[in-house]
Amino acid sequence: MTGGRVLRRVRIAVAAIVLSGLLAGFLAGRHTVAARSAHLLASIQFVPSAVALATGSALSLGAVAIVVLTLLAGRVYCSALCPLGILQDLVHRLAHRGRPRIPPPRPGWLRAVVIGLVVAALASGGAGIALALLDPYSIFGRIAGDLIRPAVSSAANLLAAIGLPGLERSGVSWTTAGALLVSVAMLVLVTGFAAWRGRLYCNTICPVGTLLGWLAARSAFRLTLDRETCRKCAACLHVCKAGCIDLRRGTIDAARCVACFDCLGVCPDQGIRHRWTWRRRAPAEASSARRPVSDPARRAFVTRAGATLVSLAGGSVLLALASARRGSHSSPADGSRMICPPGAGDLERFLDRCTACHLCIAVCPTHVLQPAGLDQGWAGLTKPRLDYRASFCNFDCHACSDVCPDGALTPLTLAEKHRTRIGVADFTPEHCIVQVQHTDCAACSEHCPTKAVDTVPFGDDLRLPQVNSDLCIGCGACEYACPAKPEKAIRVTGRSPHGLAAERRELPATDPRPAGDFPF
Amino acid sequence: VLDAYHPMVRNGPRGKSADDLVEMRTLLASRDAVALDTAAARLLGLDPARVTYLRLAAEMGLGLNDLTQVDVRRIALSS
Repeated sequence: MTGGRVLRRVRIAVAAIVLSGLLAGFLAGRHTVAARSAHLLASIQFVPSAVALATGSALSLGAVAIVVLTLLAGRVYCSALCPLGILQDLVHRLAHRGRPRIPPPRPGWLRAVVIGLVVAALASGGAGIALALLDPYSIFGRIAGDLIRPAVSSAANLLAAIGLPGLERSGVSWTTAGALLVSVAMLVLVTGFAAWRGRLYCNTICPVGTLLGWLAARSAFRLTLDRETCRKCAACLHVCKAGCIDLRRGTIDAARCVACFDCLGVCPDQGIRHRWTWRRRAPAEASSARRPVSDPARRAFVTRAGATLVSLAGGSVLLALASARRGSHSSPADGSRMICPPGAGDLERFLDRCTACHLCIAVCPTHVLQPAGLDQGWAGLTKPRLDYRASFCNFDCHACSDVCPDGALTPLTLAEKHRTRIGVADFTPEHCIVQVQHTDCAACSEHCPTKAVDTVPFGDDLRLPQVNSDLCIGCGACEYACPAKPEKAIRVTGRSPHGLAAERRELPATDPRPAGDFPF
Repeated sequence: VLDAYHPMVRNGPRGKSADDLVEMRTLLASRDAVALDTAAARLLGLDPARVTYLRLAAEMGLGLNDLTQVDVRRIALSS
């Protein structure tokens, strides 16, 4: 087996490990090993790692390593590590079995528009929106967590229903409509492009692809066509999913090549090989330097620069509008129903850093974490928040902060989590069934893990809940348990920034048995 | 069978911390569920007469809530 074939197999093996490790976390995140493996693989992804490093929340060197790797050997990330890229390869393979592939077109202006929007977003403080919508890993996470997971459990339930042994029926949890729409739209876009034209998405829309492509065009080692051995049989052209090989000019566009090495696998003549290209002008560049001014490459550059400027301006306006909207939505009058997960710190910080990959949502054992729709403005779109209509936050759990790859959630110890106040409960006696229907209840107090909700005597034989907000951490156990309809009598409002609840220490309980240890 | 090894005596039913439990190291067993719960109420220092469901259960004929009519035996395991 030649070196090229080995490289291709290594790439496929690494991709298989990355895809299965991440899928394990998104599909079976309640198992510790699956969550750990997904966290590890998510933390080395380009955007999460860059966010964590840039915000100083973790010494996350994945992004740096990927930049170095790209400068050395091109867009290895895009084929071996990026789960969205790997997913596209699978889709493309299924859609194109045996059929020759067609080189995708090159809409350079679209690429410029998207990267312009991202730069504008980063500059105008709307980083959270752009990163959340365009980070390829996070797009994959949303597809896996919001679409593949419920589909897999539905399928398993169906098989269990027709009596396949070894399967248990489980609850299927579809995510909220607004966020689901975003995930479905991205799935349709990405898989549609992949089925149609291979890595078209990566080479036109994906900002990570654009950035790494720009670096890859300057990489040290790159694939080149060997003019002596290449017989222009076009075998490579038919398997290239990036459409980066130009046989007529004898060049390979390193900016678009995703380093899948499929061409190396099919080349019968070893006509493609890695070559050290630093300090050596590529033949194509050399010839273009001698071209006249009216050269199409220059015109394309001017068009692209123009498109970038226009989108920069447009993007800034859009993002300014979005942030103004966010400002009005996080006002305290709204009671802030955007209750951020423990470890988020405060709302603004969280919305800026979270890329909405939904790994925390996948590992949340109670399903209280649900992606927001547009109820918090564009900045909150598809980002996780606690929804106490769905469930409540388990007191003895900090799985979400453990798996966050962006550093948007700071990892908490259980002791810290026990005191982290993400919200505070408010009691409305006018809605409470103890007061309205004169019946026994105190479900809120029974479920309160900190005894922030206690009861006081009410009437002859009843007890009415009472909230000590100093002790409340806002976990929502009370709100979820409250049977009052249509309005719950106890509701949690979010706090930003998160605070620390007081702790009421009690002496160890004493044995209640009357004299003697056997009172019969 | 009723496990009273570590009964929770306050902040129930959820409890706040292990401080809400006491170590009783006791196990109750009976074929009369009402009598069993009556004995458990006594272990927790409660007056069974004030535990409504025990009275209701006894009235329905599900068992006895009067421990004087029950043969209670203790098996102590030395440790």
